[in-house]
Amino acid sequence: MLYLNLAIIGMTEGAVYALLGLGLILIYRSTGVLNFSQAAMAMCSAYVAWQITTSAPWLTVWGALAITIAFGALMGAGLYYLIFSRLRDSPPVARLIASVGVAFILPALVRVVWSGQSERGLHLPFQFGSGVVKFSSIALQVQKLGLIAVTVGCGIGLHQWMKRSVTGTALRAVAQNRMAAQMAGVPERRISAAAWAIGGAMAALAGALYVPLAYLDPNMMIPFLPKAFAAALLGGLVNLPMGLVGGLALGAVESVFRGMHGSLPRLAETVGALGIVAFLLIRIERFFVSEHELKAIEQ
Amino acid sequence: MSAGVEALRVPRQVSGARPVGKLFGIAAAAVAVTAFAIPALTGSYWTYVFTYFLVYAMIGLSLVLLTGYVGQISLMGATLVGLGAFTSAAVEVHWGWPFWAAALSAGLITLPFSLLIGFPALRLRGLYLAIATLAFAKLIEELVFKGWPWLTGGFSGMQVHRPHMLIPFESDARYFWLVLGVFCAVLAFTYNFSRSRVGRAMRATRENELAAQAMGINIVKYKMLAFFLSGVVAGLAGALQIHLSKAGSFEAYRFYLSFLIFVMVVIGGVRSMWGALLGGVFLILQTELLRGVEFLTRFTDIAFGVGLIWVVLSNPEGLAGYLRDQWAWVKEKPRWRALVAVAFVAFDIGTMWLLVHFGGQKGAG
Repeated sequence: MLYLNLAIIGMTEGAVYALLGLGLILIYRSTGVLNFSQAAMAMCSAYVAWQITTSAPWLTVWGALAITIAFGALMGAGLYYLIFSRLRDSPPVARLIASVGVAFILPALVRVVWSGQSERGLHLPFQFGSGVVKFSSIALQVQKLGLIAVTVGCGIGLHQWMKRSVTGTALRAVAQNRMAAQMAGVPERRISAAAWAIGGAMAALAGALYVPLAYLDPNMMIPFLPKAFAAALLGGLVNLPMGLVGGLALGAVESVFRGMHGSLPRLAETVGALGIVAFLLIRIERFFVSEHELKAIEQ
Repeated sequence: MSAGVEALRVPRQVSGARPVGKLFGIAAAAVAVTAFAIPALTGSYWTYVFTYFLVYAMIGLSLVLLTGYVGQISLMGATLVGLGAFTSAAVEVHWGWPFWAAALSAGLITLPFSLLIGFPALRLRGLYLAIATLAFAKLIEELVFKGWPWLTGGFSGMQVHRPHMLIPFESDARYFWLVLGVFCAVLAFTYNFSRSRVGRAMRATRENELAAQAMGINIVKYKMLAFFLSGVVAGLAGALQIHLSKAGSFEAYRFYLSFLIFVMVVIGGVRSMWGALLGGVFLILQTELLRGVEFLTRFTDIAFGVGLIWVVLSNPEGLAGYLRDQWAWVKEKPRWRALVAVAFVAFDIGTMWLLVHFGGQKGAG
């Protein structure tokens, strides 16, 4: 029972891995960018959420959350139009380097904009209230439950949207064959920007919902990045539901390891890294997409 | 048949390939002048900073050997540097080894790790390799750096003394000479290596693996060799670094530093060894010159980020390529363009001088 409780609590952090991972997958699949700035985007959005809640309290936490998500989406689309749309024909490594550049710029911008305040450990109020839910011996803060629920909802919703909606179909078409999609009349740039916007919105959601459980810091999201990669890699960087499962499972496993005795808690941090190496070596992505599509993404 | 295969092998000497020879005298003179001018003209602080620059340039060279020569991306530079640093410190502190043996073991300790990382890396390309090296860095940090206090001294870190080999290298100026000597050796090696048969085979591997294989180049062998060489240079640089600052804990070798090293080399120009030097200059100047001007320090990371994006958008060969283009531009019409170039360089140096002079940089006083 203790371990079950630990696993469920761990899923809170797992939800953050999953939300970031979903964004990574969406962006990687549609534009071939392995986005190292995903965590920085989440951090940036968290600061925006804080600013809105403090300077416009009448908006309530939900209004602030909505604006933050819109901000994240705009940031994602803006980054695509400004930088990554120009790198469509560059090698994948060049796109990766550009995203590392963005990951350097965003925290520095936050330090400039919120200078003096950025290091003070600012807090954000809970969106879901500060209550605690109990089922028999398992206790969980409502905020954590809300974060997990939103993440699961996002994962399933995005997957369905990708499968059913016109935009989602267009996105998959662009991922499979950009040229053919363009010839079929898909506005390829706008569709890719939409993928970045959703990726940015996911990052914003992760940042805004997680910060009430921690405190604001320009570096706060950095440790989440490698784990978000691990989560996304369970889906081979292309499969959304597996990314969701990967994130939640990684959070749960880490938490259970931390609750064990002896030297096992120290191993918690290595689970994600071991996962990355294992998934890469078995080339897990081949279970989710055809060889043809893989080539299209890797170009 | 065998003769035919022999004919297809990479030639030993190609036109334009020039081993160190004619330039040797000029280079030696330049090094000698630097060795005496830096400690004599600048204070102890700037000698220290310059030594730091040499160490960073050496770390940059290790990445150029790997990323520039065979095109393998590594985001674990800091981890290999840390391994070298801690190994040299541990064998000195616990076993009392002399500095030269410690530095040698710092270089060699990276070999098994390179082997461990290199073999999976052979299966992975580009992006996947970048994530894999990130994961390896995390694993080594957790299992070796944090899990083995004998090596790293735990959270308090390791303390070491500057070496004493025949003469003491205790002072900043003397230690600067030592680092300069090692650095020049590594630089000369890299310079010759890139023009050697092995170096050309490596660059062929980078450009097109299939074509290289068709030429009879054993790409597995050359990739592994690049991993080994890069690791040894990084480990050696680590030993020099920890003896420079005389102390170090694993907090200093986390992945922010790996990213910084990567950024530095990409901005400098990953394809040539001059890129490592220019990257080192960029990094050190950025952080040291702006250190005094509190307001500007916030912009260093922005400068790194903008630099990276500038490189991928318009200048894949980084500062090294940019300067080469400018040099060609000057040579085209030397009369007035040389003036522009001189004015530009003078303006840059003047700005730096102003920053140092009126920035009131800390640490010098």
